Amino acid sequence: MPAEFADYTSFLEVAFAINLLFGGWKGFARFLLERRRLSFNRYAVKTRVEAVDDAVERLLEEISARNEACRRVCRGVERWGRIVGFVMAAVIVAALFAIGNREVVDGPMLAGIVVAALPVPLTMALMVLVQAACRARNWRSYRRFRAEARYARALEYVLAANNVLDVTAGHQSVVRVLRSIGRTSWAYGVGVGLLLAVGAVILALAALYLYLG
Amino acid sequence: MIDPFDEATWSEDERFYFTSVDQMLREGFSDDFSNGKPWHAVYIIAAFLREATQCVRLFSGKLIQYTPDGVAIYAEPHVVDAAKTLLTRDGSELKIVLEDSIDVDDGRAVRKHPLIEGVRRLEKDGRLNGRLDVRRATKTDLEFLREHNFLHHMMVMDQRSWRLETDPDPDDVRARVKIGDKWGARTFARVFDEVLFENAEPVFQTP
Repeated sequence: MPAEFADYTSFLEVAFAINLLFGGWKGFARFLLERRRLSFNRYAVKTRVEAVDDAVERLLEEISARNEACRRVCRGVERWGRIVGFVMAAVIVAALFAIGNREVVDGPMLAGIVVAALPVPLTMALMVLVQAACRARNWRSYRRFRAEARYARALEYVLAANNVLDVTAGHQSVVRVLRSIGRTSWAYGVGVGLLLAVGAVILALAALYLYLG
Repeated sequence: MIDPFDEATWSEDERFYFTSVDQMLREGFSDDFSNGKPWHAVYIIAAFLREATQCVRLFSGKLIQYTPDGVAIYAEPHVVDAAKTLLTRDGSELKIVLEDSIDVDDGRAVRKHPLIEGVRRLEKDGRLNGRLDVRRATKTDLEFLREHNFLHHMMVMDQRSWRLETDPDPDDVRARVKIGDKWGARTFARVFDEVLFENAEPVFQTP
């Protein structure tokens, strides 16, 4: 490197300095654009979407766990109902043998037969009740689930729509920056042109002076 | 005053704007461009309604008939005619969601709004082949959009072009339009359908 480099006396060094400044400005513009692009991923909103997704998943788990518990209870009731019903059927058969060919079934015996016949309808009624209770509880969860799912969907759509706007705004800022770079380039070109013209005039004047002098 | 449908009133700038819009509509593609002035807005609204083949979704404040400066918007006969042109097409839809109550004089019925009146006339003439559905957004949905910074009035044409008012201040409308942007139009249409339209309360519907 020549010793006199960076004393900004030569035209080339001035041009180099201008280029350096121009390059710095372009780098800064690129940085601004990059930052804009990164802001497209709205972290806070994304976190909310994830939170809603989690809530929806929890509700689904809650509903399926309740359904499973309901099925388990119903299976148990059914099993016990069958056993009791079978026992009662045996009791009825035994009672009928005991009655033999008696023509009149008296009060206590009638009551016994009715009680013996109860387990099956009772079991069925109990199963219906358990299922209804489970459905009622699920209904509230479903409503919450639907509301949460709708919220999540709406949030996702609004997030996407905001991204479209961001891209549009980003595009605008790109256009703005490109225009400004264009203007800078134009100004730079004009500046260099003027410098060259001034230099040429000085050289011409010097040549004229030398020629005439 | 500039009338977007009367060339004699156009300045050189307006002529350039309107002819550029026409060219972009013909080509079916554009970068996004500004559309804030009321006469620019009304030109695009009429163009979207006229050019649409399937569905136009419109989220508006109250379907204003005239701006405070007296520029006709939804009372503009070209806009009404464009809406009628759309609804003569088989299976077409004009879905409108309003933020406030519709812009009719106090005590007058909703059906007295020029746009709705025009469509009803079309229905009487037996030329209505599409469906007009005007609804009013619920407070919850508006609050949701406000909360998430997306309470923008918008118009989406056939899921391929859109106009979006980017400034929520009704007195200082700044809007952007993009023609032939399927991604953007589909996204805004989803917001319209799923967030606004689904729960909105019916105001006027044709059969």
